[in-house]
Amino acid sequence: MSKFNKGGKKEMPELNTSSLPDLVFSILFFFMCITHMREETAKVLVNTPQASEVVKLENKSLVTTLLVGKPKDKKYGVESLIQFNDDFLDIENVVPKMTQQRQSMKEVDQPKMQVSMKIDRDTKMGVVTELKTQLRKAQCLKISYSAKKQIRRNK
Amino acid sequence: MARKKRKAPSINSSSSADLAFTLLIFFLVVTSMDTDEGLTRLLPRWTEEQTNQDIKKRNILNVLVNANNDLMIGDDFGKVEDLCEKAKNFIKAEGEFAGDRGPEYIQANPEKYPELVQYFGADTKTPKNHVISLQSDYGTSYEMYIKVQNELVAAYNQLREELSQSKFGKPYDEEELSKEQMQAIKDYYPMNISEANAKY
Repeated sequence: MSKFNKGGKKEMPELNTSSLPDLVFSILFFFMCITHMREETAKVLVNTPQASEVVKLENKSLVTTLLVGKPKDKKYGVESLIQFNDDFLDIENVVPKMTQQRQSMKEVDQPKMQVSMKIDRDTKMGVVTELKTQLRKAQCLKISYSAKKQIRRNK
Repeated sequence: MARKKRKAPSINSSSSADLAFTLLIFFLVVTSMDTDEGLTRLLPRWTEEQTNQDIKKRNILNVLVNANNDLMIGDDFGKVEDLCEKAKNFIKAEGEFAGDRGPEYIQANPEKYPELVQYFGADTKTPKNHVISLQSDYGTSYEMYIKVQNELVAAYNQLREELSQSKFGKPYDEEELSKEQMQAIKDYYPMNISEANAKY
């Protein structure tokens, strides 16, 4: 009797796929965790300028984003407007809104609050300076001029 | 009658993988991995009255951008491409100060003060009192403004990089240098950019 049965037709064993759903589910959970749904729809057109010396804003929970640009819908005019969350924000309301935003944060994080300004490249500096002054009044001193990363050409 | 013991039929789970895949693809699509990037700045505190600080003229480099996006560096027209180099020369302040050699020479040399910076010894002189005053006009475009800001930040970054290489032999990077070393370099070349209000 031979130990090796030659010639015996042996079927290829089927691959056990019962663990495949678990595998996929773990990837799924990973993506579910890192996903944050876009909670705001941009009502203004923002095309941020390019810069080479940008730094990443590390902690998302500390960052408040303000959008500045021309409104998409022409019925709001053609002047540059400020958008915060889902609404347009008048320049006079920047201070109360920002103060409110700060108060909604955890107490330890409040001094670390950072405001990221996503400003369209065609905006006039008058609007930006006005916004900066209001942010100073609201004690939001850590700001960031949002820009796209660009490789520096001449070194 | 003898009853047969029946096993409960197992649920066919071959489709659960498909189900999970569908969900996975959905989350893949809606996930935005992009992190916000930008030029970070610390604004000065708001005070009701304008504070007038007396700063010696030689310690200030004026950078002006007007409504036509023309650039003025010091006392003359300038190009954005030259701004980085000019700012670097200004901050380095390596030339000897000679008050009678004309305004452009004065402007190019901020004073150096003895400053106790860690790793650099007690008699180190740093240009800690220099100020780059960036003024923009009401009508300046934001794109131009960011370009100018970017050049100024680049000047600081390059100077700090050079200093880090010559002093520690490592690139100016949080992963390479210790916290104290980073701070020492920041103390040596502090970033003093004053963003004055737009002029009306």
